[in-house]
Amino acid sequence: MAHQDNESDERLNQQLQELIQEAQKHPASSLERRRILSRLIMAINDSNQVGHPQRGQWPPAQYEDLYNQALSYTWEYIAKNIDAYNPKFKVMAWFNDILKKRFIDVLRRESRHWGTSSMDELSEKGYQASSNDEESQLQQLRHCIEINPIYSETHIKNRPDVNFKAIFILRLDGYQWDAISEEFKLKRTTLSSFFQRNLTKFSPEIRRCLDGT
Amino acid sequence: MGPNLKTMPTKNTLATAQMGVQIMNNIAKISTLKVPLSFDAHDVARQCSSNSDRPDKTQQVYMNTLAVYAVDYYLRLMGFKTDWPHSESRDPIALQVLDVADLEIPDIGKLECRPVLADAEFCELPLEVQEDRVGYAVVRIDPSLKEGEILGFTSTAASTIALQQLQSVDALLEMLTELEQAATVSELGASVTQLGRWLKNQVETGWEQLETLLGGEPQLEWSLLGTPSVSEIERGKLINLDMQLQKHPLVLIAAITPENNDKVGVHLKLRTGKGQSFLPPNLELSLLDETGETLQSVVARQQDTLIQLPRFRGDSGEKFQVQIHLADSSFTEAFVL
Repeated sequence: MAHQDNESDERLNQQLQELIQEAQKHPASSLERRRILSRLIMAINDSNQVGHPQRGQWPPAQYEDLYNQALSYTWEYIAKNIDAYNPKFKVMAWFNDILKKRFIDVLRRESRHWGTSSMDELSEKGYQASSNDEESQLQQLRHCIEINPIYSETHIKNRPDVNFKAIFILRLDGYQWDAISEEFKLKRTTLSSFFQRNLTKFSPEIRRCLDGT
Repeated sequence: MGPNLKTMPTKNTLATAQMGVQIMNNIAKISTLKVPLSFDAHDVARQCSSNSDRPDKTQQVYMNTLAVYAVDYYLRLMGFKTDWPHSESRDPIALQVLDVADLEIPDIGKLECRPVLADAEFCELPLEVQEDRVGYAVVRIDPSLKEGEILGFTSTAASTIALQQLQSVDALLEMLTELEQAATVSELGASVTQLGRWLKNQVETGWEQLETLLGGEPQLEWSLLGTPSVSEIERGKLINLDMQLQKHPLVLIAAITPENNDKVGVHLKLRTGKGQSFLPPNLELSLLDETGETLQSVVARQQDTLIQLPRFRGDSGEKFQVQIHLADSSFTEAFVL
């Protein structure tokens, strides 16, 4: 049994080393290196040999976040330093060593984080009344759109009622393009491209108003 | 020989090159790719979605942000330069009134990154993202929101995309790498030669009358090339191709003729520079399209003094490149008609 494990370890190591050596032959931004690097990610993910530093020392849910963050940083390191790989070491030993170090980095920084939310928590959170802070920010955005007459003066040709301000408020209230199209009896694409064009144009102005400058 | 990599010879370079191909063929094609979503991803998602008072909006922005995070992370791993902070999907005002999940990739364009849930078979594209995108990547977000799986992409906008029809992640890499290379070429070619303007007598410096470049050399070849038409404008550019410490002075010649319907006839040639008897054998002259794809090429044989590409017609504004290639050295010039 142990002998078989050694053999499959050896095979995996050879396969991963060949991928890395192949990647090293191609320049950093070449399609070949990108493809090989993607394959390396898949092969390592599927290897069942990715380590779990400090597992058991943390509650499982918290550990998963810490671990995933460390894994993200590990891949960032590997992708940048693929040319520095020394074939003297087994690929998985190299990878797991980096992962261990990144895990410690994450622990050092972890205190500033809130953690992740699941889909269920997100739906719940969504239905909670928003805080005063968020409300006042939204009110301020509405206010900025209301006070500047340019937004209601900017309208679709011959349709002063279909102006930037009117569409902005409808979108802010969550109306879909279908509903707005129904309301104004105009094509969705006409409305959406008019709106997006002017949003790009007015964004700096709106931002200045929000910043109170 | 079996597919087992162990048995492949690795001694000589040819075998190594073959092994490369073998590796590419042996390992499953990358169809999808998983990205862990942890603190960094959720921090941005929380920050972007916190400004709304509508639950549906909060959730939409949160999920969109995770999808963009996954694609941005993967593309940066692959060495692409992205500019997520300056994308619409990070603009608090745009987020309030548009359903956007774009990722700005400088010089390439916006890649839209849409989230789908675990059991989805389709991905809806809102109207506001159906224009101005180089493509649409789709990311399946695990219900735990701890993992995003990049399912693939399509470059065609539609209100609904069937996930089964998506192209692979490999194809996404291919498309973006091509666009990136095309952008690099046009950047290098800040000095794109504007052939269309030659017709208005505006010729870039470096492009000279052939007499100036070739001096008093006997111009026997001219007769072989046929008499140039009256309206043809012909200029040459001196190019020094370095190879194995040897300089090969060459003259790249472009001749253009105005034609009907705004079209321009183009004839490209390469000849020996002053004092050279023959072109180096195997010297290659190629016509490439805007993206760097080779359209046509011609190779010098022993004792050639001139090689030329077949004459072609193009529309005003059309872009192409000419590449001169010999062993390890090459020279590329970008043109616009």
